Amino acid sequence: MKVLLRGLLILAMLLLLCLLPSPAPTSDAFAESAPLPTVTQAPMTLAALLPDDSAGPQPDPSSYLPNDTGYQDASLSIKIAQIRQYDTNILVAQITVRDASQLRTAMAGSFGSTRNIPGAKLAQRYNAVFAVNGDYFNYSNTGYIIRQGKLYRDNLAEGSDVLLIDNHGDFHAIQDATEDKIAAFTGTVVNSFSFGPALVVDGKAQPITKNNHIASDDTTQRMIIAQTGPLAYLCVAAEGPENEGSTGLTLEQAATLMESLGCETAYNLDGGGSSTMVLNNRKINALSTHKVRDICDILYFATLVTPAE
Amino acid sequence: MNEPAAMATVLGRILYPYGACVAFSAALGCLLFTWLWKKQRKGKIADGLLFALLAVPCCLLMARAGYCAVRVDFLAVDYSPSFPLRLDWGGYSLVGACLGLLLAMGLFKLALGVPITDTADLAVPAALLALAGIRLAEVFTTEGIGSYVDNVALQWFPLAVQDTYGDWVMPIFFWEAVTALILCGGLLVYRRRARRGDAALTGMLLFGLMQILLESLRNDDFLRFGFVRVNQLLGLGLVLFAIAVWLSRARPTRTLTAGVCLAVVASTGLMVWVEFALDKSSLSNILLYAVLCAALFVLAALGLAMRNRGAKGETARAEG
Repeated sequence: MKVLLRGLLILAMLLLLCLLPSPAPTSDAFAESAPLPTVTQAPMTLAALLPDDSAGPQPDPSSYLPNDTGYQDASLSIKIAQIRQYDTNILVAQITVRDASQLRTAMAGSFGSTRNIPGAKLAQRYNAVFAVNGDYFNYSNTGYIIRQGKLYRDNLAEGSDVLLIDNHGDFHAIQDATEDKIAAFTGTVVNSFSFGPALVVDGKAQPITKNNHIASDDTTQRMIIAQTGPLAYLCVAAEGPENEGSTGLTLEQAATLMESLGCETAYNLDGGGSSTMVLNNRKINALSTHKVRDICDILYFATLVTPAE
Repeated sequence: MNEPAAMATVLGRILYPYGACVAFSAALGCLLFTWLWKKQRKGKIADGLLFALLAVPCCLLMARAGYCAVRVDFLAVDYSPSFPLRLDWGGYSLVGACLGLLLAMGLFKLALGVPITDTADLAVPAALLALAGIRLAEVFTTEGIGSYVDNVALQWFPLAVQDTYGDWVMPIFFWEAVTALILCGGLLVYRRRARRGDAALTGMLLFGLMQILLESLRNDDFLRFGFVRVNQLLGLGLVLFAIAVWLSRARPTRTLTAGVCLAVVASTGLMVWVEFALDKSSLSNILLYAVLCAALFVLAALGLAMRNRGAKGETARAEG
């Protein structure tokens, strides 16, 4: 009798285990789920992409310029050049898009997961023509995180600078962000980043204070995104001391650099080993660093041109 | 390797293949323990099932509690307060499960007076059998995978599997399952001639060492404190515990104790350095993993040497 009773109890408990979908949080665990990417079949008239987690159309391989110097089609122009300042090799990508929806973000796993993958793989999943790493939001529990129109986290770190990208593709740097300052923004935010600091605001290099950023103050690899005009952007990847022939940039140097490049707004993203710039599904920055760090999110540019049938 | 898909719906609740495999694996573990209990301890089946009745909920709840404890900073911000109670929302910790097993052994001792050492000698192989099945079950999810395998020559099972996007990745879930299965089989053979507690300690040592290596290769939703992988801490803890127990049993000289401690500290330091170097150093990953394996081998040899020394000493004292 004891055997039967205990056996039945064990069976009942084991049946409960059948409810487990996975050993890690699935997308159901978060109210706003992040579905797998699906290719958006835009009509032939270069219509805007959907404001969701879907991937862009597959880019035409023949639109890539030789020697990783860029990309050109009817909706997207990318020109990449290497410059040298502060004894550091720096890749500068000038990007112009036809529509704000081409500036998009993607995550390696569903929100809440700790999953990281190579930036090039993540870019490939979403048919990104060009991509850079984001703010590595899954490393800490702070930040104001909106991605493709969904608010995932509202837990500002005291004194941090937040970058808001609205539905017109315009950058808005909220310095020393507070809930009130965020609430005062009247636009429609499509994507936001919480790393910082804001390097350039209204065309002026900003003073770097000790308490407004989590980025290192030392000379290191940097990844910076910036807006130079309507639907015109810069992505800048500076090498670091671990790269042959480069010293790296301090935040002050990065701010001065971005001001000199004519940026209206420039924002510092996660640098160091996370610094990743991808073109045509290959990492193109800091190639002398043999190790590629996996990252959790990217900001990428998609084309509107659908592949010829 | 895919997003979890429903297997069936019963009374409005979705049943998943992963969950079904976990349940089946846990059942196998319970059966193995009960069988060992009857065969080795000449105990009653009902008592064997009592341990299973304690172990299943303890391991499940502690695994859940362990996961929530590690992720508490994120859970408090990103999820609703009901998240810890939603067992179907995933998130479980191997550390928690091990603590749950220990708790179950403690409760079993309270209930029947069976020393924890004796229970552990039977529970560890049973737990490894259950773990093997649970790891294999990750094939129904997007978990249990490692780095990408870009070398076409290596893109075949069991060196690589395709993930949900068609990319080839290391099947860590399979390697962990096979390792656990081999360890279980080895312990079942070894326990016949082992001293009290040695089967459990040997299982802890070897499982801990393999966990340090395999966890390093994982590239999925592994639990971490910052960049430190929680299951590697578990592995190290198990290894150090086993070596400490054997060292104390071996009745060593001061010189031997100092030597063992030095070797343990050096090996541990080397493993920590490897983990940092994998991210920061320009040294090849193959070289770094070779160094890691060497450090693990040293710890294995050290532990087993202490075990055998203690066993010889005990035999000599018994004969004397």
